[in-house]
Amino acid sequence: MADDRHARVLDELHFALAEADAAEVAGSVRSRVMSRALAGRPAGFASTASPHASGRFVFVSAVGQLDALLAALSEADWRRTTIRGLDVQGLVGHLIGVEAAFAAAAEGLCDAAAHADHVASTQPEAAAQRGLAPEETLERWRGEVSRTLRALDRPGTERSIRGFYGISLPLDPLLVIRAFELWIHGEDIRRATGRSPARPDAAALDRMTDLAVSLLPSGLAGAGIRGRADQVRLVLTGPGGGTWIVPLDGSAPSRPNGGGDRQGARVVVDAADFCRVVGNRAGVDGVETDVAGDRALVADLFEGASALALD
Amino acid sequence: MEGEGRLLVRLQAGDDEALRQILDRLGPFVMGVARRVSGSGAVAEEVLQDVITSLWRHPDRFDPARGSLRAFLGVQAHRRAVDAVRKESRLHAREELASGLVWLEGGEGGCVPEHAIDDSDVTDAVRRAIDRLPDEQRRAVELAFWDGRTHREVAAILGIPEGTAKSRLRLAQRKLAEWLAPVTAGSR
Repeated sequence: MADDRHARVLDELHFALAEADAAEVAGSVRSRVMSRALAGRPAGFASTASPHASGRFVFVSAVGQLDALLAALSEADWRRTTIRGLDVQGLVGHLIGVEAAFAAAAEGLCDAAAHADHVASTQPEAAAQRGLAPEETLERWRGEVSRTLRALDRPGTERSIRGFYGISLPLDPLLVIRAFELWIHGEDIRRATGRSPARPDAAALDRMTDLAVSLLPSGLAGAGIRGRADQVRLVLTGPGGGTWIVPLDGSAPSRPNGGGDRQGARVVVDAADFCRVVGNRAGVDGVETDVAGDRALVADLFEGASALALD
Repeated sequence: MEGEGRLLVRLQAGDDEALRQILDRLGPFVMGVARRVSGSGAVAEEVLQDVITSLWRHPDRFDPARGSLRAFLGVQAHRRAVDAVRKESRLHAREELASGLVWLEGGEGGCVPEHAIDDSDVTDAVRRAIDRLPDEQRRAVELAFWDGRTHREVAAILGIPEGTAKSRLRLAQRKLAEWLAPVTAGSR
């Protein structure tokens, strides 16, 4: 062990002194080296990318994660205050309302939620939990989730959902958004009950970050940020990570093309933390970031990301 | 100078700009190691290509806790250059050349963890040897070894031409090889 360490010290010294032999790398060699490297692994994609997960898989995974959390709550935990003045039970009531609306849409029975207000339309269900035993609330939520899952297995579900709280997306990405909502409210509950934050599993996070980045033009427009010619290099680290070039003029984000184009700013942030920004649970100062370049551009990007949140 | 842990997570996230930064900063070093071993500019370019491509495809193989990125890439470059020389059937002559010029062969894993340095007898010996160097050489070696600076950064910090920084490191290299010979023999 000691010999190994000693050898390493000497290696470090050896290679430090080998700086004396440093040789110029010609521009043509540099270009060739970069091209060859990027041909083997395209820019923008994580080195340990998860296999593509379906929206249904991601949704079921988020349901499992939230169910395990709710099942572990104490009586006192259910009474803790979370968001919008709701206690945990009220927040689960909100989720029951969302799930019932989604299940009804998936069953082709009712598309009232297509353009409804996400919070206002579920408020009665949140209020209805008062006085109920937490187990009853949990069972009602589970019941609505089961209804959704049964509906998803029926043919024609894709056609029956024309929109959901103003979001018009195909069923598969819509289920990723649903998973995102379950995770972010799970985080609300974790925070309220003194638990540590939890990451979605890597495959789910991969879908979440990919979808969130693709929706950034809508968020930027929603935040009133448009017409800026600048771009931000967004580097999301950890499982679910990747790299994108995000234009602030409203055009679609893309993976880097490997051409070495410079952006006005670069921000490096953990993928799950970025999702917390998208869920409006953290701002630019609420997560650990590493910013190079114009910080104002990154602030704009994060503001646009937060504008994607439903509540 | 951006931390190597941060550069690593950027590589893992597919940030090609991080790779470009590494190529700009350590590419000349990798080329230098490979050229010294092989004696060939063409082989050195091939080695640089292989080493950088491998880092990009498998960034997890580099563990910052085990040592510097420079030492990690240096070990890779050394091995690949030796392999290339072998392929050209000039092994014997070149190995002699290499051992004459390079006073240490690349080790197995590469690098040294920061926490392991302090309690090491070898480190004490290295520190004492560096302290014996003339001031100009000592300062260049301290920047390159303790601070992990490249020859370009050493030159910029000391306000001297790059060629001068290299010569100071080269002169120091010869002295340290001689003074540390008993230590290097004992650790191999």
